[in-house]
Amino acid sequence: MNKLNLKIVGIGNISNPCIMINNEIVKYKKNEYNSYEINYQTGSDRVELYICNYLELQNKWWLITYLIFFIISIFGLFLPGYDKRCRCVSSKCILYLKEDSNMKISFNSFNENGNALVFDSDFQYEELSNIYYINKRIKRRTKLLSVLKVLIWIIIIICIVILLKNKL
Amino acid sequence: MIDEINYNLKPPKKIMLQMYSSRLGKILFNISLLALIISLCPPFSWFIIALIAIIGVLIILCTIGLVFVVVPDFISKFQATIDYASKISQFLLSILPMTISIAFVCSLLSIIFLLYDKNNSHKARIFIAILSIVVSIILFIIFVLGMKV
Repeated sequence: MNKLNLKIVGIGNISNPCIMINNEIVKYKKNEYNSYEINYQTGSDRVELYICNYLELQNKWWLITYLIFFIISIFGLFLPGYDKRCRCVSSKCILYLKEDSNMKISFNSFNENGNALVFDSDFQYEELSNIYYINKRIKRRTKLLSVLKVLIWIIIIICIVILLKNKL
Repeated sequence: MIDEINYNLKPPKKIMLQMYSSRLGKILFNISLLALIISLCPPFSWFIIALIAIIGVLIILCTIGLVFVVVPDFISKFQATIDYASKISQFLLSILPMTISIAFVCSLLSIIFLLYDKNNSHKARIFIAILSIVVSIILFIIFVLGMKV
């Protein structure tokens, strides 16, 4: 049985992080220094580690969910804004584990298309990707939603004016 | 490479639920905060009425009654202002049970939804929501006692 001890520092800088080992989300514990610890055990000596983060508008039902929240929040009056920066991280690497493997992963400060993570380990690993990037698709969606919100409000105001005119 | 890795990656259900739960919690928190502010308005509106009355008396005293010469219908205007303020206060008092219950329920639900999101910390919001629950309970007790008296 191989044991992997992962320590992740600075993960709080990105929103909704997700850590996967062999395509399975792993649970992490927060220690007193605000860094995350993962203790993973496996029979295999080769695992795939994937660290990424997700944005709220990243699923295919983004428009419907937005409209639902828009209505719930009384036409967007109480709706908190979406993340306009759309910063994402994508890091994939293959870890060649030994019996007791220790790895420390630190997050760099954001630099578009720059290295996202710094690895420090006592075993071999192979980096497949390690990048910070701005998710332009989500950024476009965020802009589109801002325009949509303004349009809906214009329609609401026109409706109110027409209703008031009819009553008077 | 990026397109292949992340753009087409479907977020896991659990993470999506946590994101939606967090958003819903924030919406409910915002609603509860407004409801709480409206609930706190009636007691303060009586203070404002008292303040208007004091300002009116002070104007009369400071101008040694000359205000009646400059504004002949000063008393009626003053009375109208106080009436208007008291009407607003009575309206706020009439909707008090509703606003208190909205503040209480929304705060409670917002705490539940915010706690479900394990990815992000919502300590400040949860603390304010707990405070909001306590204040709404106190307001409710005061309202019930006031009704009995």
